Amino acid sequence: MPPPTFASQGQLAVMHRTTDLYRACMSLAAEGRSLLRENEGMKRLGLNAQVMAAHTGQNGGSLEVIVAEIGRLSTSIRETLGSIVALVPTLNEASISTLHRSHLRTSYALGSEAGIDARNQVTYQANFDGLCSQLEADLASLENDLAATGVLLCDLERIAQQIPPVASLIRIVVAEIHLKSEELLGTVADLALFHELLDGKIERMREISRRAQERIGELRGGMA
Amino acid sequence: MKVHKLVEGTEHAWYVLGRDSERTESVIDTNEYLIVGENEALFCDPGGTEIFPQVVSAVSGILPLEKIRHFLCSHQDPDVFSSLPLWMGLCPEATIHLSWVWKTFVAHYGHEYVDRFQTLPDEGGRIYLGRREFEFVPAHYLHSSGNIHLYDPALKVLFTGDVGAALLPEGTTSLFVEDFGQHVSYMEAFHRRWMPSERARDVWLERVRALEIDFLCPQHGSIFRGEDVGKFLDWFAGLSLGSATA
Repeated sequence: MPPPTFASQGQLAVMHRTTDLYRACMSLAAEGRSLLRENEGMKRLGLNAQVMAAHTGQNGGSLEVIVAEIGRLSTSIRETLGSIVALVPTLNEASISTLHRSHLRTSYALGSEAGIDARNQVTYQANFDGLCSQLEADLASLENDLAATGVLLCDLERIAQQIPPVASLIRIVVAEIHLKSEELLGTVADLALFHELLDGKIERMREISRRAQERIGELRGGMA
Repeated sequence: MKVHKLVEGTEHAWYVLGRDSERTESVIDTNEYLIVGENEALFCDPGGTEIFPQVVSAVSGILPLEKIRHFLCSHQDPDVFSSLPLWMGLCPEATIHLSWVWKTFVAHYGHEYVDRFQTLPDEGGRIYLGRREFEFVPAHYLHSSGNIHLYDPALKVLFTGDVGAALLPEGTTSLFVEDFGQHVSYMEAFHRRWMPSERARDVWLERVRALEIDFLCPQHGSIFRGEDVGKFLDWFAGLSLGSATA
């Protein structure tokens, strides 16, 4: 049986890393979009509290504070996630371009291994170098987007830390005004669930981002 | 990969590249045809990405790569020209000739090069390498709905894409048909299945029987030369096609 065309293990590793990088960027984008959908639930919690406040008469003032807090959190989360999702088109473009150019680079490298006649070596090498420069620009663009995503994830984490105090506030208000409201206590449970989800997603996105950055580092090392 | 000078005239020569022993066995073996003129070259069906390393290595030993100014993409299949972006990088002056039918499809191999596509009308056309004229011969529905062959009247060579293609046994080394009778067994099933239209076959046969042909060069399998060219045309004329609809 003849050996496979991609005989070079080094080139094969580059292909796998690039594919993994592409997969990581796509996953990051998908996680951001899914979290943005989940955040709609926060809006619903805010609306529930607003309805309760309207029904509670003179005690509605305390509830309005809660409504405002939930509204503020929901808006902050939506804005931060919106900024992450806004990075998706450039992240997509750069990762697809990286994948494409990396495949081309592999084929050219294998062509070199197969042997390029002396009269064509200058042309071939110039073309190869040009492609590597474009690939480096793609990697730099990906790196910038991942760094920006990292900053936004820190912001998101800071916002998420404000969720438990809001839940505590609801418990206090419910106790103070002797409000028999299963709905408000349900809101506390929902907030706790959302907080857990948010924490999990942030950690997952951080992990994906770390993996993508590792692949970029490996690809740079492989191209050196 | 074997490199063989097929025929040479005063102003140009045909080279065939094929029988790539280094290709992975999961990809079909292909023949690539390079026509080298004094100042420029035309490359017919340069092949897929998987075999690019071997092909570029072989071609680099024949001519300066930037001398390739024309590529013929006989039809849309990936084994024909999925290597498009790799060649475009190396041949910045090159134009790709293909049927208008496939322009937006072949663009999937490298949309950034679409401005270098020169689409051919259904009637085919002509191209010059230096003073030498070549003819783009229509071969639609054989097997592709937009299929182009290339005829060289000076050296009497007809490049036929998948017409005349054969799936040879492993280890076949000869580039030419040696025993026509035996060769039929390597190409019969292929033609019955891949070629969908007997009417298209008849139109094509009428057209190419009017040409003087010393070499009939398919993209897969062995090259027909001399009397075997006529034998192939006669055999093809009597074949029932479109076997999957039977």
